[in-house]
Amino acid sequence: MKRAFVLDGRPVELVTAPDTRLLDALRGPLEATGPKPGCGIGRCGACLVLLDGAPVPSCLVLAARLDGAEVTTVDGLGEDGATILRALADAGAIQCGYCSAGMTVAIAGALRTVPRPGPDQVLELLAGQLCRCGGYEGLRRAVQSLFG
Amino acid sequence: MTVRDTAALRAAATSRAPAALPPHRFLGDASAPGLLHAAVLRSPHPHARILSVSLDAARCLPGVHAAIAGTDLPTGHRLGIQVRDRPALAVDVVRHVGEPVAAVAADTVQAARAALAAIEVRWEVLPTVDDPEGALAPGAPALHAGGNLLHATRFERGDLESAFARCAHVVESVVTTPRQVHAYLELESALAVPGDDGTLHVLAPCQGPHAIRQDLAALLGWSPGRIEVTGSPLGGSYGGKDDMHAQAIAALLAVRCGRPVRLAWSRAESMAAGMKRHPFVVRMRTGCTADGRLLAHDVSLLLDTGAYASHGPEVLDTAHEHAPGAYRWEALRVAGRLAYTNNGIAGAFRGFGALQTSTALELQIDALARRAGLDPIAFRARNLLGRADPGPLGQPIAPLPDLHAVLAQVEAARAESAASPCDARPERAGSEPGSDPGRTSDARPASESERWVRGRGCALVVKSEGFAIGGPNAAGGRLGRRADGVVELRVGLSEMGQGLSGAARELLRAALDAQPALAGAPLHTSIGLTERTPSAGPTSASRGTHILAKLVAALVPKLAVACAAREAADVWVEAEVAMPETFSEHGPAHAIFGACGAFAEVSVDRWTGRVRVDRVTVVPSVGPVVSPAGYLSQLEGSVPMAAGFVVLEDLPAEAGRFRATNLDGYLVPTLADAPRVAVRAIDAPIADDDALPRGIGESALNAIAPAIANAIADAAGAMPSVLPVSPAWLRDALDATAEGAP
Repeated sequence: MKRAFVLDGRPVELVTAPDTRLLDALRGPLEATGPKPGCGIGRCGACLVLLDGAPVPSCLVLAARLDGAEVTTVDGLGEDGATILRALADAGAIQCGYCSAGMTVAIAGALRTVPRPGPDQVLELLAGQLCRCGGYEGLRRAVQSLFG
Repeated sequence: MTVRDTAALRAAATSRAPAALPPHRFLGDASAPGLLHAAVLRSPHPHARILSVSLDAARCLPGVHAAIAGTDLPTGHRLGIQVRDRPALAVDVVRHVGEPVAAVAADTVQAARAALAAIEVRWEVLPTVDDPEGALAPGAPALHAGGNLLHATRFERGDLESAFARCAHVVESVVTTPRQVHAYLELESALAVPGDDGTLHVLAPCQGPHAIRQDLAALLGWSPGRIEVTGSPLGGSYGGKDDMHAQAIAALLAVRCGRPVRLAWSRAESMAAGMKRHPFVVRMRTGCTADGRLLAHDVSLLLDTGAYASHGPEVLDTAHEHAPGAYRWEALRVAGRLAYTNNGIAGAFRGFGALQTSTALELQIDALARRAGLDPIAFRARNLLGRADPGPLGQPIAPLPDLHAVLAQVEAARAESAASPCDARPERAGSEPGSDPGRTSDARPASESERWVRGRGCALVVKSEGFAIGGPNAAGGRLGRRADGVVELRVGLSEMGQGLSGAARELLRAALDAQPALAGAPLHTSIGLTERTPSAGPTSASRGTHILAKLVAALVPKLAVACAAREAADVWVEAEVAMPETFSEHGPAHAIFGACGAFAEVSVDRWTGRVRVDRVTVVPSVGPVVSPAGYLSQLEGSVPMAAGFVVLEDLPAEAGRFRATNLDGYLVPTLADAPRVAVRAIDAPIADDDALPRGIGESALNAIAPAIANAIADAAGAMPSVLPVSPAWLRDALDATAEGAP
């Protein structure tokens, strides 16, 4: 089954079973390894992508619904992505860095879905993004620096 | 003595090199041409005999390249750290749910999984040993040839009964601690790539690439020189990826197929078969005089190590050595037992056994202070180890940090909390702190305005550094000036988010700039690999920074000399350094200890029994701060993990089966749960000490957890005996306090 959609700004075609998870399609045939596998049930946020601008865990999206969609991973966020990553690093929010891709997408998603979001609103949107290294104080500082 | 707070550490961090961006790619992102995918058939039984495994049908399926079982392993080969008892694939018997029984390599993940369904295993189910006490009872089925008692410890000093006889106050308690899951977001995985020349390259997150190489060589019957392991970066480890995980099966299949093989565990596989924190039952009887002098301390420990040894014996040894804590005792007895069960496998986890005993001990110290009517900080101050005191087992040790200075900062945190309590959430506005520093909880009825009960608690720990006698305590490294002028450090220590690479860059920069010939040279660090790199031993036991500091100090002058002698480019030098060792007639003992204090503020919801950890102040004293950014990260990151241990996290086993398989059933702290963190770090060399900086990753965790537990005890008016503290227990405790109130 063939699906045509836009990945990080470039048109792609994907031939796969309709029940293939977006996460597997991205990391497999599409070689987009920005989204990371973590739990497979949408609980950790490591595989977060923007689907038509809205943040979703790519482990919960099936390839069947990708036709005509726009998928953005951490690598397709352009300047937003670079700014957010720099803010996370400067605030001391990054330890092992495995959650950083999903965290960055989540913050970029807040920028795109909420008009002029304040730090508290953004922090609420990040409650589903796990960081097992516990860099949450750094995350608060980063959000403050970006949205305060 | 300089005391640094968060702002000072952040300023120091930002004044140095710009903060590193996260690793763009992890080892699980790597691929290779002709890649095959592996899947593992795992035991559905906690304990069973394997009567037969039939792989024929699986081997015939389209897309399947190999299928292997325990009979394909070299006879007698076992994985492990010091005790080697775990087969890479089960042989004859399975001892936990999720134990690998057979594995296949196929063209796709789907084909590999489909092939698992075609493997036929005939089982004879055996009785399950599901609790450590039962495992050690007479008549329990023996899980290993040597019986179920894997390790036992005993230490006795002074006349315990006479000391107890002179105690005015004695507290007896039992504390059980949870089976905490590492829950690193990066799952276990391995990519094994055979070379044309009879070599194998294994890319898999691990804490000791040289140890993994050694184990793989034994498994394959190869010389280690044919294998290279790349083990960094890790997407979190906390001890859990110190043991071999997916590497062995990926390597076996890759060699058999002559093609690259990737084995990536699912979260369910990680929950079932990954290492866990050892659940403890800690029994303590502890006494002091009427004026608060500690006299007698009698401790027994019972640990559930699960089906295989992993780091179990060393965890018990460390727990045992930390049972006396930061205090002087007239008489002391510590006895520990480590039991095999069919409850998964417990191994290394940040804190390494010392977390469990430190938490129980610090709860006990507060309970004793309450019993004696003494202020908990003043009570501790009365009984502290001196700077020149010997180690817990009587062994000679490097000078301790000044524990009174640590307590003074804990006291300052308490004063600050009394003056401006942390009210992180608006619904807490109705609760007010008490004025009595020893006890702040309210016992008034739970009207809406008094829904939140505040509690405050402190703790103080000492924590060993590095491995005990027997090591490995030596560590090598390699430094070179390359043809392009870049100075490159190659070291087998791992980067797992603890900030090793940042610390390496900072130490190198300073050391290079002190050498005229090398000042200003651009830097590169190659970390966590075996290729052209000597072994540094595992990156665990908080030894990484210490070793790194010594390696840089040894390597840089050596390189300067070598470069002066040879104008030519591409000059390399090697050095080997060692952690200090000590000696003790009472078993494994450590030579170096750091210290950490903590002060915690919590709010308990009377309606639901839930705990909010509002703020934790951390007071580490581990010598000079090497890398302010990494140091602060370790302190801040320890807080949610410690809070999880005390109020949230547990993976219970029922009849040898874990009750959760993913992060929906096993919860870890989120941003919404994360306490605020304050820091009062003692950043100063330890007087008369040449042992260099101590690590920070474990001592902070070990102090924060008991401080939170003591804050809960303060709010509840009772000492919790089961961790994590359950809402039901808290509601009952608060009700009992309310009923008992005037």
